[in-house]
Amino acid sequence: MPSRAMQRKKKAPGLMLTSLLDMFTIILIFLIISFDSQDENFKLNPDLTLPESTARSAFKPAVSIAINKGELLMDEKSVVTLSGGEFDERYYVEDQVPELVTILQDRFERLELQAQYEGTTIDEKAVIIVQADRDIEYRTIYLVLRSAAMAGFFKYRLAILKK
Amino acid sequence: MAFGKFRKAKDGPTELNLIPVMNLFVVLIPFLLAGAAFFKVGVIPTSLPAHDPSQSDVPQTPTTVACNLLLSRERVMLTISSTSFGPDELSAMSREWKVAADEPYPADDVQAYLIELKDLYPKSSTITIQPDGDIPYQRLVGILDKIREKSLGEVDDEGREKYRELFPVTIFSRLIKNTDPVEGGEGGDDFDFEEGGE
Repeated sequence: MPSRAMQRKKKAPGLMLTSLLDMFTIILIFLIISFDSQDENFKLNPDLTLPESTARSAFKPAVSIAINKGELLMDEKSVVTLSGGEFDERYYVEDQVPELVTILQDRFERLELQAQYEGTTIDEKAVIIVQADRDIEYRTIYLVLRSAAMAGFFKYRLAILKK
Repeated sequence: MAFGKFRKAKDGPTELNLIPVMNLFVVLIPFLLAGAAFFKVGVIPTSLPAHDPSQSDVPQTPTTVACNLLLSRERVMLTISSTSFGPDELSAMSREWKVAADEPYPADDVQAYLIELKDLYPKSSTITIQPDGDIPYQRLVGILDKIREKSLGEVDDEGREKYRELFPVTIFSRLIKNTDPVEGGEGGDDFDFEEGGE
């Protein structure tokens, strides 16, 4: 008859996984919630830093334009190159970015057709989201907005990072 | 004999095999971490001035005023337009703040004056921003935050901060420097307002 102490020795030591499992469950819930609350169809351009703001307006999907110090992108495709956050001087003289106006006009026409098909108004769809680097000067942003206005877009949303 | 196993099982609680669950978690967590966003993106709604010759953007009602905020590196100037007041009254309502080189804008002072205006004309909501071309975007957004609303320092039942709305409708416009030495008078310091968008 082996003693109790001998019996205890025979048992293989088991890892206490319960506390680890608790921790993983908490992390998993946190990550699932943050994954769920991510803004749909919004891809932050990795080459720019958005300005910080206290604005609380909710993000809604729209035509996306990104301006970083090296280029202007629409839907992640490069449209025009910039130098140090500034367009070529001729764009400022012309008061528009013709390449952007052309692309946006085409998009506006497609949105009009889509609005007709869905029975909605173009005003609801013709919205531009501008992601611009925090160091970009106002005249560059204004030139982009003005080009968008020339293509028919009059509503803009400036993307910011919530403080 | 048949009850032998049952008795054995009763002897002590069986331990759950948690290793497959742990394996699942170990796979899920890196996947979710890679896709998780640790920042919140918001938007500032804005527009450009629409040029309609048949309409004026100057408010027609006596209880409403429209503000124009001129931003340059050296000064912040607030002018008011309304059909209910004469030029002298409107001029008296204007304010100007000097800004030292590379100093932040006196956003709190601007906000305090906008609160006064909002108290007098509560239905006013539109402000046109006319910054100089070389104003950095972050600086602009910083003063926009003060113009749109004021934090009341309280929270509602759901724990969200309470704000008082000031001038939430912001329109971006642009100043064109008048460089004509005859018309401009003093070295092109006068400004002409652009007529607006297309």
